[in-house]
Amino acid sequence: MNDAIRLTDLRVRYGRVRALDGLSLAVSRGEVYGFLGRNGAGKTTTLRVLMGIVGADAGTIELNGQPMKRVSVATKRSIGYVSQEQNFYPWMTPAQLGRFVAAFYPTWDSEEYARLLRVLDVPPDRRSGILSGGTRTKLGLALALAPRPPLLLLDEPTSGLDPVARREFNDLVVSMAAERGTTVFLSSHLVDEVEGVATRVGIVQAGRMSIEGRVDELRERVRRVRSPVPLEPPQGVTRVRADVWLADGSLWAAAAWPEGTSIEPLPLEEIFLAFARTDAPLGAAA
Amino acid sequence: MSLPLLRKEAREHGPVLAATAAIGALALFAMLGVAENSGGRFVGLTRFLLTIGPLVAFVLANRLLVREYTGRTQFFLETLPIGRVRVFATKWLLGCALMLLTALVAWRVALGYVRRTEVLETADAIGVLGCTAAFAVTIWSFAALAGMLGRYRYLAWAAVIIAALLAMNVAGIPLFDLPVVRLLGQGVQMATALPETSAFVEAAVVAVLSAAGAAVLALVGSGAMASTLAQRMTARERAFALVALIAVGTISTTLEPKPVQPPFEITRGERYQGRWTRVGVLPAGTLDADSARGLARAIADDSDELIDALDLSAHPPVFVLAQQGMDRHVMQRAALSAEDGIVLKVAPNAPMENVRMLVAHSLVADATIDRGMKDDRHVLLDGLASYWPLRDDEAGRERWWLRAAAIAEPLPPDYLTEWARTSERFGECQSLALAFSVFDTLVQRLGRDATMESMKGLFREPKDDVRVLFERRPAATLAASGVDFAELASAASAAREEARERHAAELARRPVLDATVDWRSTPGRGIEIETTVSGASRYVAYYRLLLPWTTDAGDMPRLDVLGSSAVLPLSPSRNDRVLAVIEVDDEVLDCPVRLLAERLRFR
Repeated sequence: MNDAIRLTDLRVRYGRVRALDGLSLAVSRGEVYGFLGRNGAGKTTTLRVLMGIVGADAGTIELNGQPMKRVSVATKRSIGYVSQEQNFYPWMTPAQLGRFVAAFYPTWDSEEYARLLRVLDVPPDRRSGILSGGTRTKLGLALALAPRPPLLLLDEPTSGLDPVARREFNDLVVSMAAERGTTVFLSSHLVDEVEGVATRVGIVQAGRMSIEGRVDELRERVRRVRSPVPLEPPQGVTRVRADVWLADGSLWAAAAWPEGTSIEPLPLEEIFLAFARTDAPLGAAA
Repeated sequence: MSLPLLRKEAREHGPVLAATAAIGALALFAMLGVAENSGGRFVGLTRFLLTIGPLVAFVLANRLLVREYTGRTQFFLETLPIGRVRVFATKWLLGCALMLLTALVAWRVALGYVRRTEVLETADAIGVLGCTAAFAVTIWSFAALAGMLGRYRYLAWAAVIIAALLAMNVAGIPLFDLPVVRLLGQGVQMATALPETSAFVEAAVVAVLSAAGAAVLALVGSGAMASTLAQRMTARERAFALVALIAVGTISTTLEPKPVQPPFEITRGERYQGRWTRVGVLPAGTLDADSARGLARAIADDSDELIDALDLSAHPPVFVLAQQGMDRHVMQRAALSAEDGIVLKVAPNAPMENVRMLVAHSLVADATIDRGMKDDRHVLLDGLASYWPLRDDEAGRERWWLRAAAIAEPLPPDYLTEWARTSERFGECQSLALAFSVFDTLVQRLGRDATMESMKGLFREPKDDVRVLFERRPAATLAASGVDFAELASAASAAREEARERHAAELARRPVLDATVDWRSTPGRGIEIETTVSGASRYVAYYRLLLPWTTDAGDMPRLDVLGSSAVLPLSPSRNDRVLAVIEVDDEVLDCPVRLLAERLRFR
């Protein structure tokens, strides 16, 4: 098994709300996986399940080939996590936070933490409550990476950052992941951010995986089809919504299209919009 | 416990807790000084625990629990490899330890104060320490629960304070008789006696339930409940809370304490003082002074012997008030407090043995705080009550055997342990006769002394708190005496069969009666219920509309019918349930016999 994460038919309910409704996905070791979805699509719930904060009602979770009903405290020691909000104790300095968090990780590397603070330009002796949003996010990254975890979960960590800080943060993540071979699971609704760093992408909608694959593979499979006459989908081709169609890459050329039909590749953002919008029925996807 | 978390708590809350400790120390010395001449050794300590104790618990809960949720740092903790249970347990135990430390220090300082003027060994004050510690843990446990209620914690504290004020000012309960506060009662203040065990049990129940409630709030729904509760009150909630507090405060100031009434007493009539029981009988009509005196003496003898046989500690007075115009088979007990005793209103010509049976029944039912009337043992209470006045009256017992023998229909196997159903079917007289037959059978098998020894275990005075849940089951108590309900039921059935043979001639004189109850629905008149009895010139119908949760119908309205049929004065609606009962006076048995008891549902 070469998967760092494998979720199968995962279901989570909050009262009557189905946060996850049969989500399945797989993330290989060492890859940067972009987990795209609208607000409320189930991204944060997925990450909270992976962190053991929330238990799944049904489905299976496998981390590094180990199946589990719920992520245990022991497993959490091998996971680094950066959340949307950095809810640090405001009275603690980064140095104090490091000492506090270090006690929970047997693999904590104090020198590495100090180096990360330096590299990320986080002042070690200033109270976290008065740090800027970007610095707090970088502090979160340093805390997550210092135990040298094989798996890093990022839950929309840059959503509150300006574009420059966001780019800096993403570059850091990519370089550090490459340097250490860390598997990165990056959740976001910002397509350009994910497109820049992810090797593979999954689009989640209403708690289910809509489509999953490498970015170039998705571009190959999802196309815009424009025709002067009304079209019936050829065999093996399905309509996602409006003029966006889904097919195996080889079918686009093989199928017989009416004269004047144009088939255009789409940027990832268009693909995301086609799969994440809910105002039109989706075809059988992925 | 988590050491890193403990270190974090110490660093985060150390200054505030040190300030609280300093204020507490000042308050303790001030209270010990003020209470020095109050006459009690630990009065200052109890005042400190009652005032500063809750304050310290409140501060601790705010710092250790509430702050984590309101500051949203709980979310940060959840991302660390430490379980939610461990976080909660660490914080709860830390708070508990700090409360215990506060109590211990306060006790030690108070002991030092006492020793300035008198000799008091530490061993003699250990009980006070135990009470102090139990109080501290209970208060902390409640504070932790209130803390987990987040924005509603002030309301939880306010509710407890208002409830205590109402209990003191309206119900007239002294402060040191209130639950939990009982731990710091006069005996502890004087260091002369410990509170009753029930005071510790009450405190333990409060502490355990509060701790469990706090744990549920912290852990259920992945901790979402506590996070949600920690959010600030909305303007609407604040307005509601304010109005509720003002309303309760206003109402409580308008309530007057319940006036203290002297216990029930009769100023005339026949009175008799037995060894334990004081009896008063008010004569009227055919119950003249001589009969009343005889009845008073018989009741006193019954009660005294029953109190001795069952080893009862309650010795209530008994009053029987004869009132003309009542049905001779109807007896009413006044709903008065325990201090008033057993007060009955009966017809002057009521069967005296029935009056004595009701007294015996009331005595045991009161002594067992009505637990004797639970379905799994009620038959034996009725049996004991009916047997007791007849214990030395052979002819009387045979009369009740006749009544029991008149029950010819087959009984279900569980008729003894489903006593409410059995009583509803057979009515008061015959169900009492049935219970009598069971009890007399038991006495014949075991002997009276052994039977009463068994009843002593069954009808013991229960603990008036949660310990009552752990009492032995009646079946187990009886089994210890070699009695099995199923076996007893079958032996009693055989004995009734024998009685039927003995009284065949009398039973043959009873008229054959047939009773039915029907209902019909017509557009103009709605639902009508009609009762019909053939073979009797008059009968009595009882009826009651049954609410969804009604099990025992209790006292029912009565309709005396002359003739063979009548429509009940009741207008039920569709889907209502009604219990309809038909009884006739049986001259042979000399008591009312229930011909029919039917629960109707109108669909």
